[in-house]
Amino acid sequence: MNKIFNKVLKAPWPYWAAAIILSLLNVFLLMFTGAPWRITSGFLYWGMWVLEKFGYNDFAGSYFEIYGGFTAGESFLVNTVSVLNLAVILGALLSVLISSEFKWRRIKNFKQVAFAVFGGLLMGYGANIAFGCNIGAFFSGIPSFSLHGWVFGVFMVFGGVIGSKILMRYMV
Amino acid sequence: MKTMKEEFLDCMHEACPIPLIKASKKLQKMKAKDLLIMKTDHNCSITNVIEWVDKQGHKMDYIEIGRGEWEIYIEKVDSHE
Amino acid sequence: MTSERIEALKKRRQEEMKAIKTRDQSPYGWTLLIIVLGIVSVLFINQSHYMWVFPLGILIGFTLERSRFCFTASIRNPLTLGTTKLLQAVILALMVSTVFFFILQVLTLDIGNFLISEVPGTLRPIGWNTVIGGSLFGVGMVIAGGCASGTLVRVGEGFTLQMVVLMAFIAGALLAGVFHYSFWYDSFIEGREAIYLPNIIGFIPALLLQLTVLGLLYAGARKFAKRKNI
Repeated sequence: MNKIFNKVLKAPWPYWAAAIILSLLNVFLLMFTGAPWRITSGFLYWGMWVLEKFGYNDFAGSYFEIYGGFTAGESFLVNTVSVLNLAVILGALLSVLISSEFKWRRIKNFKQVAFAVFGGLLMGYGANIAFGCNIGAFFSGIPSFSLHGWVFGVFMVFGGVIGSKILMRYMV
Repeated sequence: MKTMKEEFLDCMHEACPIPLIKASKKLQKMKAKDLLIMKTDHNCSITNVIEWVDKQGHKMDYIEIGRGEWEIYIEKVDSHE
Repeated sequence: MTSERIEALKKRRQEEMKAIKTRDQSPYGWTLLIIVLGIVSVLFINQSHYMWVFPLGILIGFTLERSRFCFTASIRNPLTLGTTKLLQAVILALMVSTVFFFILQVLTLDIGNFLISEVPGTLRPIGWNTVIGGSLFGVGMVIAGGCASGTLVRVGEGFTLQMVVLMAFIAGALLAGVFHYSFWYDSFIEGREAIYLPNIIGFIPALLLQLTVLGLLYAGARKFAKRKNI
């Protein structure tokens, strides 16, 4: 019993097994909800929800105004991707608690924060103009046979090469 | 028995993949049979380090020293052996 | 692989560590599991709109955390460390989902007579926005130490740094998706339709082409790991 616990809930799962499980979960999302896994528009939704709480509501020409999906004055649980994102955080928390590996991991120095903010901004901006992140555009776009997934993937790798150079040069 | 050195590398609060890059740099400077003790609290480090160390042919194992904190032990193997 | 000396060291360190008390967190985990199951059953009883999204999201987060699956590392590790297991896993996942997405699409669509908007999946147009966005995203995920999914998982694992990343991500999303969106939309997106591969070369050839390309990439990644030793 203890052995099984250690194998399934303590030791990391092999990558290939996770790959198969994640693809099947993505297929189930498409089957049961009509759309595959995506993340970015949920973040935009959270952002607009916060802006609205601060009294800003001039969303003319925004992504959600064109494609629909933002309900003014609603709780941030009204958007499907928002719920999906919260569920992913909760799922990770569940896993880390069951394996007793949760820890508040504090920030070491200001350099980390600077790179985190810069990287986060680039990701948020890039994902929102390109219709998705590594999940929506890449992990769901390519299996959907949409060519934008491949284009996004190629340039994400290109950006990754530049990012790795920055990392090796300035961050280590 | 010849004296073997134990090197220590503290990678607490470092983001992925910096612990592993630091370890690889340190290992380059170490002699064969020296031991490297690495401390990390990054969940991804274990899997990343295992894969890289296996590929390099060094010997390694790890223990959990606290909740979400690990110590990784790497014994350098001379690649020319 | 371990060695005698590592085993001895492990024993010694474990003795030394005995003094430090560590708490078992799994009771919190099981409690959270019961709460989650409760939410799921309420969603199902009410036939909620979210009855599938919520449990599937939980399973995705659980799987990502348990396996340390990381899209950023899949791209970064080959370049910085010469290891490709994650990259191979990502390609494998794309192959598996390609097959199942194909089956779903063929079963759903009235072949020869369908609109792009009816195709199940994520289909979006291509433009300079894809090129620029993809590149910015690639740089960002490597220096932020995690992609969109990785950031969510690390927030769940308790990383303060990734909470900063999440907030910056949202700020970047607002900048692009609200304040600059009309520029990108008017310049590159408006009036364009997604390019659906089976519409160009046919359904079966599209499937075979995509699996072949992914298979070649998989083989290439394996070969790269054998040759490159950093």
